[in-house]
Amino acid sequence: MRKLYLGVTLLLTSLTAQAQFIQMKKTYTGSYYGFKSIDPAGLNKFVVGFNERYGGGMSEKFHQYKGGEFGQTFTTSGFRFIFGNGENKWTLSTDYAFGSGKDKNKAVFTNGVEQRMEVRYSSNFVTTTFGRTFKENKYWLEGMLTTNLSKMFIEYTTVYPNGQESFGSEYRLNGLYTANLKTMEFGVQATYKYKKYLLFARAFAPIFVMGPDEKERNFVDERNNNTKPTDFPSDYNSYVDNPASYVSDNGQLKSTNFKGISYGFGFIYLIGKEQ
Amino acid sequence: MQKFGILILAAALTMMSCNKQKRKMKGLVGNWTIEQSERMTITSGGSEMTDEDISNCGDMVISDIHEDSTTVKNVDFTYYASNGDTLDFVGKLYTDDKNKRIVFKNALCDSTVGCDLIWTVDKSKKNKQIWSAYGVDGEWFYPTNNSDPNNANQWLMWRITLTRND
Repeated sequence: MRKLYLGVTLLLTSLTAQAQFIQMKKTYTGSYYGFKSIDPAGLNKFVVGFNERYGGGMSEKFHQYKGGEFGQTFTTSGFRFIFGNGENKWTLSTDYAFGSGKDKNKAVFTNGVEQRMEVRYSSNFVTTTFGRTFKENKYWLEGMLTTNLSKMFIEYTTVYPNGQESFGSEYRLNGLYTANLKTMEFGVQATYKYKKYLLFARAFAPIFVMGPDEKERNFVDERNNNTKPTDFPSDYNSYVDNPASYVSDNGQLKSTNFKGISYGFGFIYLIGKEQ
Repeated sequence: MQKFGILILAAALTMMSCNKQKRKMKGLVGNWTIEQSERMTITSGGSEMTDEDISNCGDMVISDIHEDSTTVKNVDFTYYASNGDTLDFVGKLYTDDKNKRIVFKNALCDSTVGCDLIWTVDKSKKNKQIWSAYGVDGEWFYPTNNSDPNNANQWLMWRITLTRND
């Protein structure tokens, strides 16, 4: 990775030295909405197990996940270069984007109690793009390489019939669970430039998982003081019936379930004078 | 100049975001009075039956362990129940990124399991805090029935209202 950055830096330095070669160098900022498709199997295994176990006493069950619930709104900023001679030129950029999305779910019991599960998913994209421009720099087509640092949260609470919401220890599953995932992703981006505004569409697919270590991809609540382990379960029946061994039996929810393709649309504003 | 302004704005927003948690925890530091303590039973119909409602029943002092500690503080908590019992705890207080829980580490006993008193933060203002803790079917904090919410007829709630007195 260091070599890649060093290479990019050397390239940019070299290009800067040849100012006439560079057609545009700009900082930019913008926003886009990203659709995300995850593997819902881990979450649904929990939902199905929970609903089956308590279904007779429930007036509303947890809904199952389809995998597309975690769309994210991103803000982004970065640096863009267009260089070369001739009608079609090269373009290169590096940017950072932060996006987050969430889904709310609840189960209602006939005695008036609710349990709520809010799943939040945030991504930090560090992206390098490289591609060609067409039609006097109006259209761009690029390949992208991204490091995606993701963080997932599950807030699990109990709401009593008087409306009070509890994160407390009285129900073992109550808590604030977090998990991490770092993936390398490849993507493509198509852009239309109008004056200082860019409209673009981009799509990513994960290539491989960079981290954390496989044993550290669970959803953990460090402050849960019930009997360990307290990792958020995927196999709920195992979590209740075999509380000591459900993690060693691989019955916990994994952050790798949140790896998946994503695509989005947005706009960017080029800062400074038009070039 | 425009670029410089945007960079300054972005840096300021980032710093504000990083310091939000620190500010929230910093806001807890000080001397507090337990202005009100309510223990009640919640029925499945949603009504609250008061078991105890007392005023000015203790105090709490929260202090920094060191200036940069964001999620852990020192706490000295004393509560006098109406029956003469006292909960006197001197130790560590932890919270989460979003300050939704307050954890008194080993406030109930001295073991690795079932000893932390976990409060849910109902209200968090500069000069007023409302926290609550719960139980199920007559058992506080760590009841035997801790999985099936439908297998209970009533729940216990302890709610304290704290006011700053410094």
